Amino acid sequence: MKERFTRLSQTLYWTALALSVVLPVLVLLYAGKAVSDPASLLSRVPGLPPDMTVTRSQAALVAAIALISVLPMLAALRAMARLFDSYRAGDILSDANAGSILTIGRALLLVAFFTVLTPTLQTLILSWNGPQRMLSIGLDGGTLGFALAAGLLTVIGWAMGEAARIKAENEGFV
Amino acid sequence: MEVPKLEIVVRLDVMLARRKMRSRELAERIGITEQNLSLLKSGKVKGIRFETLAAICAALDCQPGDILEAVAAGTQ
Repeated sequence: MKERFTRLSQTLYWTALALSVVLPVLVLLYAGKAVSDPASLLSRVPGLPPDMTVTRSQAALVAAIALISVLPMLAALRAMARLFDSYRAGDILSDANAGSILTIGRALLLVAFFTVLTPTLQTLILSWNGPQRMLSIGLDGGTLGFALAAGLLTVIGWAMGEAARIKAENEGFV
Repeated sequence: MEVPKLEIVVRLDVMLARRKMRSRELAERIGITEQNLSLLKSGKVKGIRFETLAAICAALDCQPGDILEAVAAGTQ
């Protein structure tokens, strides 16, 4: 059991670490492409008329929102890397790990929030100069499930904090 | 009426001396590490499990009251 735990944590550590490097690079590429070629955004945001003109400042705003909305995911990935690094070293029940789980849960709640907010704002910005401004809010079952899982992780983080406190107290007894 | 504040002091050294037993031997007999026994002797633990207390009493042939003493807080 312990060996399987360590092995899986090792794999998850490297995955989280790699994603925390790759994700910002991809978003920076997306932002760079959006600013250098604003018209390319029309094909990426559904519902917009293809003949609409997108200004560079609109594209820059859309790119800035994309950059901001990736921050919670980055925070979650960094906390995951810290947690799995600790797990692969065999340190399972500690206050620091509970803190990491709590950070992951809260960051993923923000990710779910941005999943709804980001396309809404981007559509509004891109349609600002169009014949009619668009405000489209989308909430699907996947996002709700994601938010629920994030909430569950937050609660587990609190429970782990309590368990770590009890463990520390128990260690004070001989 | 105010209840006086007391603290529990471990008198293990006294019993060990009476029984002419070394800490290492006691640790081996009751199945805890010498380090933990040392922490217990110096009072640097939050508490002692009944299981450990019973094992110490059995090894030293004594009662819990021979090992533990309640004294006024701050006098030790």
